[in-house]
Amino acid sequence: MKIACVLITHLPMKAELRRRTDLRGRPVLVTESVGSKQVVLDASHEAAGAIVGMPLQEAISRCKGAVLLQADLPYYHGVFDRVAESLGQRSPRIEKAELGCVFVGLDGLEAMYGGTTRLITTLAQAVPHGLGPRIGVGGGKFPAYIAAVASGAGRATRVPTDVAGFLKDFSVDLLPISWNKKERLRGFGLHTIGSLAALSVGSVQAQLGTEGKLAWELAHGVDRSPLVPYSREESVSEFLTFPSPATSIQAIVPAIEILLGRAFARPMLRGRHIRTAYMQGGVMNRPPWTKRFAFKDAINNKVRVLLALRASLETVEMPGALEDMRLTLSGITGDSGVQASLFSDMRRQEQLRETMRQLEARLGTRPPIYLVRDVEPWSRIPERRQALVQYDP
Amino acid sequence: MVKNTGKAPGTGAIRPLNLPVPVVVKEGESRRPVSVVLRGRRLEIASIEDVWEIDDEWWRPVPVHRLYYRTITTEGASLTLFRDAGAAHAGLGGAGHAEEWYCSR
Repeated sequence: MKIACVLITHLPMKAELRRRTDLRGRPVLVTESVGSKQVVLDASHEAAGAIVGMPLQEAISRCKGAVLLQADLPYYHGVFDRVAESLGQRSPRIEKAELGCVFVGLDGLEAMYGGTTRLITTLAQAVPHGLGPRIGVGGGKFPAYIAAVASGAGRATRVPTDVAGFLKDFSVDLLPISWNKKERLRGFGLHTIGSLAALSVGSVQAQLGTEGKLAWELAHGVDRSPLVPYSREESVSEFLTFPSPATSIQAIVPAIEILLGRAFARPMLRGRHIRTAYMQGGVMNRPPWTKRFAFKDAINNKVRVLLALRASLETVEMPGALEDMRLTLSGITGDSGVQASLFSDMRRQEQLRETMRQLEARLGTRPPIYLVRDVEPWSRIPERRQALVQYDP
Repeated sequence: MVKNTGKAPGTGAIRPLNLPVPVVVKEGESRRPVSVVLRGRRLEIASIEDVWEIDDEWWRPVPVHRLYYRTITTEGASLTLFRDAGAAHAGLGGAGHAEEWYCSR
């Protein structure tokens, strides 16, 4: 199995610089909220001293005058999705790992592209300009990842035959194990992968359990984890910008209606149902507002989707005035209709029965709910024609 | 043998609907309604649109014998009143059980 790892380091920062070219060459900090704290998600090369995960106050004290940007995770994931899609056009087997890391299955492609070098060049060219992909090629995902880490931006490294020898000088921090286990390794004075590989598997496993065995095997260049192909989900996305910032649900609902109208006019949704809607709105000086709605039943009707969204939005609190909105409809089913129940009244009856049970428990007696029933509809005496019958679902 | 429980026949889960409401009616010429007191309000009858009679269930102890009047009040509301003569016809009430007026719903 031959695998390439396409690694885009500092993807959030690179993505921001792609849309904010005026920030190039300046110290920039991308921050995100973790609980009540603001921490650094990414930093530009010029913001020396700031490292990922550092509290914002400390980062600012280290690089005064840095431009602060709120993390726009949906945008970063959008950029990453485009990279994955582009790579997916070169190889049918790609796996999306963490943000900025894609594994590409190379088996059988070399002959098609005229050799490994050409294939790697093709992969590098598939990544949009400015993202500086690092590519590593190896017999497994972990060696390929380490090779990518070792590569320069826009360059590729192939793992040599002696995999363990290639890995031995890299830090144990690169192993895909939990932070606690890495701390324990450092506590034993094991800072490099080579020092871990020099131990016996039994002693490592005795101290670190199954994660220890995994780490030991990886340190020897053995990575049995399969490539899990990424399946692209079909979706329809529509976008609009508000003429003036929208602060209320009443202002947002017409926008949703417009977006739904556009989305359901798309050929992809013709005669098909959707299961989820994802809304994303840009908020001035704040992280984008996002909300995901999952529908109980698949819907293929704009009006019903709007009703469901409106009902859900009643209880939603907006973080601020929305400047734009993107609506993405996904979970697109191949159904051309909704299967009705053979016993359509059964569920309704069960719900009514449950309601009656609850009412009876609350009132301590049979709920005074009656049905109007015809008794003698032909009677000349009006009060004999109908009667109230105790409702018993 | 099943004992007589002494209870009225029928299930308690069934309740009558549209039962007539007893009202006080001032009668005019030929015992026709002139005004009616309904829910504490006196309503003047402007016109009588229709009159019909029901004689039924003569085999029961209290037969049904009603004379209906579909009336329009001076306020424009439509009221259906009837004079129940069933008990009087059966000779059950004696002097104390005169014919009574009801408003049919």
